[in-house]
Amino acid sequence: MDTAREDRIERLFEEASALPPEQRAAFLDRACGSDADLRAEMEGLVAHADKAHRFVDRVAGPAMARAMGEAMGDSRGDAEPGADPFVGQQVAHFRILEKLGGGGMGRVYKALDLRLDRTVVLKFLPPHLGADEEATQRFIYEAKAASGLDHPHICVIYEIRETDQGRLFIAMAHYEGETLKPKIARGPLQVREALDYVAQIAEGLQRAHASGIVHRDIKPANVIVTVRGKVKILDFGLAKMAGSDLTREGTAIGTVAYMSPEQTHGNGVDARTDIWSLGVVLYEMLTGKRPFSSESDQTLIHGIRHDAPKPFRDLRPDAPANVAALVSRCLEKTPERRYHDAGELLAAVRAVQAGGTAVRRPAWRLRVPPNGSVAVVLGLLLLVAGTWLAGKRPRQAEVQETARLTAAAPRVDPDAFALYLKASRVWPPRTDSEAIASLEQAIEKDSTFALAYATVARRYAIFGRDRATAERTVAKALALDPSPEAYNARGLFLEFKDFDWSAAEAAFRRAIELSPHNSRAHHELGQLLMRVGRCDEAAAAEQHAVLQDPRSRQFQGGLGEIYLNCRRYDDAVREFETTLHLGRDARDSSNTYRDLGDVYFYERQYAEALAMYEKAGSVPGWARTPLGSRQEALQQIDKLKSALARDDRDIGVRWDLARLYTSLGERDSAITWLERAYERRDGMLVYLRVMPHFDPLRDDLRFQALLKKVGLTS
Amino acid sequence: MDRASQADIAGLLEALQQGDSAAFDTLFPLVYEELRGLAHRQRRRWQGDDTLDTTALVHEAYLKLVDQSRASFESRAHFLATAAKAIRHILMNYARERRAQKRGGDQPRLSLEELGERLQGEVVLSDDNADLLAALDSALRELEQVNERQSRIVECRFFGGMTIEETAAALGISTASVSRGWAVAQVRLHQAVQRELQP
Repeated sequence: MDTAREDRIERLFEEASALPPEQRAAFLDRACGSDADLRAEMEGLVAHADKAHRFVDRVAGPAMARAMGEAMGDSRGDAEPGADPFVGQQVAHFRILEKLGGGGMGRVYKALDLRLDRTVVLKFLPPHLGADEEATQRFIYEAKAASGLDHPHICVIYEIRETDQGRLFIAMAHYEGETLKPKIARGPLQVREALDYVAQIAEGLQRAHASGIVHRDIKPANVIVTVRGKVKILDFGLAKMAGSDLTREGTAIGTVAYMSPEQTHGNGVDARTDIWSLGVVLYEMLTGKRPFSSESDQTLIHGIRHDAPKPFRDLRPDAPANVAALVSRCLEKTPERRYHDAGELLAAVRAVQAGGTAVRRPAWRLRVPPNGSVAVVLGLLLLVAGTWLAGKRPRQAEVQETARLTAAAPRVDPDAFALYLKASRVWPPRTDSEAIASLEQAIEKDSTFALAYATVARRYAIFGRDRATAERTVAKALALDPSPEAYNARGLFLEFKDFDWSAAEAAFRRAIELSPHNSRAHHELGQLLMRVGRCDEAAAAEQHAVLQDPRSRQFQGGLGEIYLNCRRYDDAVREFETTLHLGRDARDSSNTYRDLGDVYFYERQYAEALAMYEKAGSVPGWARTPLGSRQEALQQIDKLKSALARDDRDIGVRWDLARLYTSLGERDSAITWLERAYERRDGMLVYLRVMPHFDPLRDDLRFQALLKKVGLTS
Repeated sequence: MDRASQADIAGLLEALQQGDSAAFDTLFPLVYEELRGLAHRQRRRWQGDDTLDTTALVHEAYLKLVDQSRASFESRAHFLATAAKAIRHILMNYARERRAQKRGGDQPRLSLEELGERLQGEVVLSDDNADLLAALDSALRELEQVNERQSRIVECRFFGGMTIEETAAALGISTASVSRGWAVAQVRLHQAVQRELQP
């Protein structure tokens, strides 16, 4: 191996790739000089870079994952229909009947809905797609929005769920029939038949476009023709889901052959992108060929952007001129020159079917997108572009929230919705001034956004410094929509700000009554019951939340906290360890390590406790006092006091001071700080009755008086 | 895995980090077995898909095998690189067996274009998949001859699902070198697979 030459190749490749394609040849000429071998090698490398990356991502990567599955399979692992190990199994309330296929978007099965006794299609999304929380939320948002479309030419989506293992799947209607793909493969269609299908697709799209929903991936494989000749459009919203995984390094990827020029740029798209794609489908139905084709995606994209389509009339001489005009209007490079939306295209198709000419309105006419909802989609796209740190899996509660929201989404200001989504990603909640800020902006933009109000109210209730603002926000959330979320916020407000335990419990129970599967309501109820010392009920309620949403760190960790404060330390360790497995990185797990540190601390396993606190990233001063070192605790006390001197509104500081003094054995000072916390209505006091840390103080009369004040007499 | 063997593995990783290549020979079979075991169990759970998330698999093995209190970013990277190699072995053994079984080991009759098309289609046949993996294996061996470092990078990035940073730590090179090497290696792999599958 010629190391120097190899290094040079890598560097030249990097530099050449950074240049615009048209400058690369000149650069390589200069850089390689007289070394013709090097020049030739570089040429080959640079020319095939895109294709190679795509090969690795889309062909080799999936092949590896599949082979790994098969290599480990107990059976031969054949992917032939019928030989599938999952056929016959039950997922949620569906029994898998047969495999229908499995492509880039994961496996597809025919299944029986056991509850409603009807045949459905289940589409499982590949696991890696669920890993991008943002993409998943968007996907659910769009698929839900599409499922609300309710149009005879749009495939009905019944539900979107997760398996117990957290794999997303969609249950949709099952239709007897086939997609346009095999139809076209058998040869060009009759003009009448093709126009009939295009008209039906356009009708479905018209409904979607009117609601601001763009399909983005119209292609023959996404259009089913039933045995009765009725068209059903599949997979609204899926295109972006697939794209989000593959748009690394700025390349937009989909089914390139049907992409509009603007899509190949990776720009935001609107209804007119669907018009283009439908034009490609029409062209292909009539000629059996696609208007643009090439052996590599790169040259294909170039053709889509710059070349005229292969002349339609050459391939289909018997097609009437007005059909050719229809096709070419759809395939205009600039969106402004195409039919503006599916409605306009539909009118044109109808005119041709009736024997007239394709309506051609002036191409220069610009119109505002229908009702501005397209902006919702664009807003989301921007949001995604801005922040795709991802890496976290969606929590079920958020999935539900998103699903709930979509019912109202078209009425919500798109920017406000984007801000809401941004806020819902912030974790852990203790560092959530950022989340609160986003939510505040969201309600400022849209003062009727009930869910944002409820969410910010929940956060104010726990973390807010200002009781009045919290109270006002809770009231507003309830007034806008007396939803389970609003009642959760009310419960937290009553608990953390007023220490009104029975009213808070009633609020959570009301939320559960409204929505029995609202996992957050069960979680909050469980936490409350723990804080008042009703341990068994608390664990049962939290287990309910965990069952609903097994991947939530908050709920799983909440169960650990219940056992911790109920002094069931072995159970607590078990639950916290489970929580650790749900986290992905150190930041995720920091709270859990701190909790584990507490468990070991209370169990007097001080070395273990210290190790856990270290993993959490911050060692509390009390961790070392039992080991004979008081210095850290004293230092932290000084620090906290000077922090209070700067800003006396900080929540939890007085509480921490009390913990530090308790560990130093200074009971009086500890209780004094707890009393000061009470004067400030510090929400941490909700733990006063149960937290093992304060056990040394419990026989003190001042402590008992304080307990009474927060409504927590033993 | 009990604490004692966890500690052993952490020790092996430390030795590996110090450049003790004999440690690898002890470590590799342990990691290999663990991965196989985990993968088998994962297969038995409902997945709704016939793919295995190899990255998740490797990370699960790591948590299970290595005493976390002794884990550092570097030792973790070395573990992941070992696991990546194990995955490559598992896959290549599988591809070889599968092809020997089905066709007596003869050459595939499809070009990469055709194969790629079929592998992205609605139904994927195991034989096509195995053909591609076998071609990938040859391509990687070829790359090993041309640029050994790039082939190590491919192992980490492709088979182990490691990040640029993890790969850099495992191979003891800079992240910039990993990025550059990975970019070129992908094109070379693709070219070699194409040659391999020339009908």
